[in-house]
Amino acid sequence: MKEPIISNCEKAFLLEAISESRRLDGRGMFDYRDLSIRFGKDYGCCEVSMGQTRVLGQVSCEIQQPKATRPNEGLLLINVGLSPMGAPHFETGRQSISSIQLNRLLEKCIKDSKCIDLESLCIVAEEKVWCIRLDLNILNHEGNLIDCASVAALAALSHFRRPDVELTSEGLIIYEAAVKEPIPLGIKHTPICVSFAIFNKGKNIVVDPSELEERVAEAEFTLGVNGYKELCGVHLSGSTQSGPTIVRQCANKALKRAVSVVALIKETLAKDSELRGSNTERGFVECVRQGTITSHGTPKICLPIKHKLPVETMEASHEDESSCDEVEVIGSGTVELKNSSVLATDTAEQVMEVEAKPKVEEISLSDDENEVQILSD
Amino acid sequence: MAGLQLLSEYGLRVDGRRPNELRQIRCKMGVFSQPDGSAYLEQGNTKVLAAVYGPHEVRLNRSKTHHDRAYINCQFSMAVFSTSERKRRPRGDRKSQEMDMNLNQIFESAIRTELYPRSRIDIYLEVLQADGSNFSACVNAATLALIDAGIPLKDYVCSCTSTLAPSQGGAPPTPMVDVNHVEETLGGPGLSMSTLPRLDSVVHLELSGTRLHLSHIDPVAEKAATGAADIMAVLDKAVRGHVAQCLHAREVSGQGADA
Repeated sequence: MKEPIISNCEKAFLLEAISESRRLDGRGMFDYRDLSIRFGKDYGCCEVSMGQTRVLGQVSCEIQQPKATRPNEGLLLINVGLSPMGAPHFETGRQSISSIQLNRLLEKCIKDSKCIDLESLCIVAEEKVWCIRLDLNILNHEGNLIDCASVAALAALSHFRRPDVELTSEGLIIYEAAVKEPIPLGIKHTPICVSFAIFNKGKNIVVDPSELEERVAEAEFTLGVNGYKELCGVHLSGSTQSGPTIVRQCANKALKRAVSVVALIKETLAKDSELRGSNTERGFVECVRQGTITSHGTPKICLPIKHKLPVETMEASHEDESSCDEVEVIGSGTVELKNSSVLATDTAEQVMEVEAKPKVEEISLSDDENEVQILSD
Repeated sequence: MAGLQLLSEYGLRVDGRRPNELRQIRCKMGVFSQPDGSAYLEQGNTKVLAAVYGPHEVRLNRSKTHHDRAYINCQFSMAVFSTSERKRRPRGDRKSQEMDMNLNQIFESAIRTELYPRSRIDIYLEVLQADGSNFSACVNAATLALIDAGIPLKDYVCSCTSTLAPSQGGAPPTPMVDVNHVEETLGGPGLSMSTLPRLDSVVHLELSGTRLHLSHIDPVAEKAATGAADIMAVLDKAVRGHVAQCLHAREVSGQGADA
């Protein structure tokens, strides 16, 4: 299937909005979408979502013969699979442009920058080495695949543990996880890719572009930075003015972002190891139960506020601390407004600030007669 | 090769150049009769051939047309004899596909594609001898071939690769322009920059090799940008020389024919 064509008015609208420093989803020019990292039950399995963009990473290992040119180093293979699940214009099997770009950029950032200690993966030089495979699957494409994929890659590699081995006179013994504790990989530095979309001849730079912004942008600039302020990969596609200044501007922002992302990964890893240690339920099943991994659990409706309701004119039985009204997400496209004193006609012209709470279990249809039901269009 | 210094204490590189010197560039346009435009470029020992066909009709694959602009197809190939060890796959492996993709993006930004809707421009590049900065040499050769084919460009597309020599004896690391094979493989980052020098526009930027510290990126990027601007001067001279030669040949052969 071909990529859907963006209409001229959509393009013009987006460009006009960007020139006024506004973005279509209400974010600021330098605001990132929510990043969340969830680990599965096995070591090396992790799902990362940046807003609606989702990437699943899985690390596996096996013993192979090393490359002839590097006989005492392990192997690291990275593969990003764009399946039609992620977007209708992705094709299985065919290596499209975006697939090549993603693969090469991640390879440069992680393999060429020597982020994993490959020498420690050697068992018997020239004969047996560990071959680490990192497979990333794009589950949903809502822009900025490269960032999400790089976070998933790093999180999966940091989470992974390989089995312990021992070389005896009889041969090689590979110990099971129950017998001997598996060993984590040696990670020398933590590279993260940060992408920027450039508009209006370099005047407007936007961070974490959404899918539409990516396609309309004049240029897309991706930087791979690590915690030591080193650049692991740089890629600019498209055309933009005054290259060196843009590089400098973006590099500082990218560095800050990389530092915060690495801190988040470490935090999530620590939490996960805590859960494993205390033997509680963990993994994707648990995430489904808690409502943190399914799309219905996440707030979908985001209505920007124009002006808040004047509180004084309301009746005395106005609820609690919050000056804005509570809205309950019932399902996709329906919200229930819980306010004791607002008349339906008044709110027709006003746009209300919504704080959609992900209460998956409590889809309550309460019989409180003070409630006014407002169906969103 | 242990102890081989990229920059000696006299400030000379492995091939005797200074850090801000480009290699000698020799080029020739119109080398083939079949393609609409062709060029041969030598940057030091790196030798590249470029051939351009187009703009022409899209025959087989209707899906590869744009309704409002031309479709650019670049193919990068390294001859099997171009490297010191015989190359097994001249094209089609991932690295070559990535080069194809980068070249596509560069020339989509540089060619005035809006003048040829629903047509296709093919650019074929062959590296005959790979001695460092292969990608940059290809971009420069393709620019000459496009000019030879008469395809309108926004500006010359000039490309240069620069690197950073490690610091010696307490001195800060020196950026060096136009890397050769030894400097590429021995280590150090390689920053490839393709620009439209007169429009002060960057169309491609890529970092390969080892990591580069953020504080060094400015000098290295500046070096690559000035290198590209210098290359433009050389290419411009070559183009003007070629055009003058063609006109002269026309005049000489046209003597006796109607004006």
